Amino acid sequence: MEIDSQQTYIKRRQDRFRTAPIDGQALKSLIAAGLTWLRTNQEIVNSLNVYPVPDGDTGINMVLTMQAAYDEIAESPEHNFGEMIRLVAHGALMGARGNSGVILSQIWRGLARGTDGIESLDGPALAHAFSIARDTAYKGVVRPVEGTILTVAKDIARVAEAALAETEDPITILERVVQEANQSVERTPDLLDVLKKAGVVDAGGKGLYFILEGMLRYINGQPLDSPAASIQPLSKMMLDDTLQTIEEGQDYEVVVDFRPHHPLNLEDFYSHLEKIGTSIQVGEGEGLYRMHIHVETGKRYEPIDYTMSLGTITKVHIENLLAQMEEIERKTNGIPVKISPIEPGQIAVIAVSPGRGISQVFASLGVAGIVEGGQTMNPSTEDLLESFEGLPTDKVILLPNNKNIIMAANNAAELTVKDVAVIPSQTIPQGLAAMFRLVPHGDLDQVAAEMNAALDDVDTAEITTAIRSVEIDGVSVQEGETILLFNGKLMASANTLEETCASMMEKLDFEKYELITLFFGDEVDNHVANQIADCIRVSQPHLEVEVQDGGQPHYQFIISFE
Amino acid sequence: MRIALVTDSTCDIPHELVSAYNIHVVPNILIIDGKSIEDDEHFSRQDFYKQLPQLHSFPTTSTASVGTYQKLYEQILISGYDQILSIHCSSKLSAIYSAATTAANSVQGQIEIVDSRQISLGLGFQVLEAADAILKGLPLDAILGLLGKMRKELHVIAMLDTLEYVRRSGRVSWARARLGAILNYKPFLEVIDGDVLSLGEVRTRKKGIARLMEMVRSEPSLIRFGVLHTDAEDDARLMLDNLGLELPTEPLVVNVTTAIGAHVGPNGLGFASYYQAELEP
Repeated sequence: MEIDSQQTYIKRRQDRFRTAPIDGQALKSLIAAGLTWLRTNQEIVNSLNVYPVPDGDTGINMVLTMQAAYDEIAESPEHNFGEMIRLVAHGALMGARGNSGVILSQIWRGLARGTDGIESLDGPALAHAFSIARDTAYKGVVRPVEGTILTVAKDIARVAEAALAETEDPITILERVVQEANQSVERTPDLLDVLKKAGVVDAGGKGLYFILEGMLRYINGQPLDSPAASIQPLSKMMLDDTLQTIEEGQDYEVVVDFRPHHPLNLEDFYSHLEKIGTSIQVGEGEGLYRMHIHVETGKRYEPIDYTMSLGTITKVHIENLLAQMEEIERKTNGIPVKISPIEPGQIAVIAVSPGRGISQVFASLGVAGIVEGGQTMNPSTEDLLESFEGLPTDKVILLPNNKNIIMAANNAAELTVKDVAVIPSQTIPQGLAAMFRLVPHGDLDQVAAEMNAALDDVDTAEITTAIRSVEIDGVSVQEGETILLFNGKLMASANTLEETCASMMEKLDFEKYELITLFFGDEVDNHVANQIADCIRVSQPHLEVEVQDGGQPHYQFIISFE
Repeated sequence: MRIALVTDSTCDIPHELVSAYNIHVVPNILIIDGKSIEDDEHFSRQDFYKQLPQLHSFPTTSTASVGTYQKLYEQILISGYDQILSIHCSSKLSAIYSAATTAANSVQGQIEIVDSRQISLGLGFQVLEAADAILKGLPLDAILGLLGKMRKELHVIAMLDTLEYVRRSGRVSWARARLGAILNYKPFLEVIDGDVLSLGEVRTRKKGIARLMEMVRSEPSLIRFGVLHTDAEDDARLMLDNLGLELPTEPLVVNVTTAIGAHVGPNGLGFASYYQAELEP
């Protein structure tokens, strides 16, 4: 791209925010920018998990939450800033996934409260909004921990407030805020020991920083498509993740590599593409551009025709997204899970399940509904609400079965008029133990109390592959090793599944158990699972060992000890 | 006024007590592989439960006919009784009550048909209390009042080996809707107000027995108590011994009526209790 037109483009973007009022439509662009920049840097955030386990995925949870927020306003012609941000907060609330997503949605809620009724944004309103956002976020967490996204929210509110002493310009305040967000994130290991030990900064805080930085980059006309760490070469353009965010009506993914005849006007290019489809990404490398877009079936050749008019196409890739999704659906689905309808007025239990086999076990125990968390294993608040709002009863119990889903469950409980008890189950075995205490015609509070007590009835072991090298809980882990967690704490790590199981046999006190159930995941073969079961039976003959096909992703084994 | 006491064989009252109190027990009918068999003192419940898992087709239960009840009532009234008190299995679980009622309508005389809203010793204890009341010379109204109050002070709870028999029998709607079990567990059931309701599950039999004992121990003062089982006499006696209860009446151990047993399967274990909710002044 020619220097001139690039600079003009940047200047126009900067002017727009400095001269025209920052209204509802401006906010829409900012939300899109924050979302895009976060998505671009999603992997960086994902890689900041303290525990080297493949779920928890803060990056993708925050992206999906922001996506839901954006979807809420994407078509809106609203000009009033206060009204627009209210919609953003609502979208984030309903689409919140994972603990980080829920807290992020609380931050948006606070920002919306702080700018209630405002026509367009100014400095004082912005600073005030950050303060309310901080308060709302802290209030939403039962036991606030410093060194997390909460601390970042606190620090940026402080800086925004201080900035008011010198300026009323919201852009300047945002600049200070973004700078402080970065520094605050860098300080998180000093506040939270696990971060320091793991050698990472807080993922949620980093995610928030990216969202705010994305907005600033947009205002300054900087690109949003190459991740922060480096200007991504063409070869590393992150197209894989877009699969998870297919919008309705976008059936095809089209990727075109081309050399433009004349210097490309990025702004015109983008706006033309925006008329054709969504999820637009443009990457550049050595005079060669790569354009990525999602379009509906009828328009699948338009991006090609358009790019052809601009230059020489060197490569085209078209993929039928629906077919891809169906393929994934088919692999993960199989026999649909049959749920027996509940009797009106009885207690309905909703369980979150990571795998088909586990879903069927819950169904066989009489749950009224199952929410499958999807690839990230984290359902949104809306997913949870939908699972029980339509049921013929006011008495509901939620079993999140994962500590990263408990907040979204509590969120859903608050948003409904039905009586909902959330049992803070952190693992599948805990969820099943709670399920055994269900008395469908019983009193909700009493049954919930029983279920809470049941959580201690069972111990859980989880076996998975380490996604990072780390030393934690006194155990040294190499990326790729098979690790064992017991009741959520890292217990052992070894090169092979067999070695890790042997470790488990050594370290656990099997005397106190009667029954062990092995749920094997979708990466494990039936016969391997049975081998491990036999191993246990031989070394502990007093135990009963059951093997079940859990079908869960990421975790080779989830084991319950009773 | 001489009052005659009638019930059906789902009451599970041991034969000695039936004779001692002169209770008329109408046997229920069991249909095994097409053959009708009466559930009376000649029928071996133990043999039945042993056969149960191997039967080709699911055994069904049926009631004695209206005619049988009618003849019995007429016979009783002719032999000199003035009133008949006929207490039966919950109408929600069996057609016995309706057969008895229909029969009573075509017989001249004072016949009171009572829906016990219970089954097994839940019904049996009501019959025994009625028998005691008759011996004490209480009038019919008073006895009916006593029974009404008593129904709130009964527990009938059971742990089954599997939910399969209940599911297949189709008699209990929520169980019918349940999918086949994937994990092994022992279901707990309770008879409340004539219906069979779920009390959750436990993972192992050992835990189940512990839970049953816990439940018994948390009962207020017991007046009558019985351990119920379907072909699990050893477990039943062991549990009773371990409970070490002190009662004003002799505790019973019964191999439960096939009217229930066919629908719950062998190796079931439970209890029936009649307790005093508050102390009489």
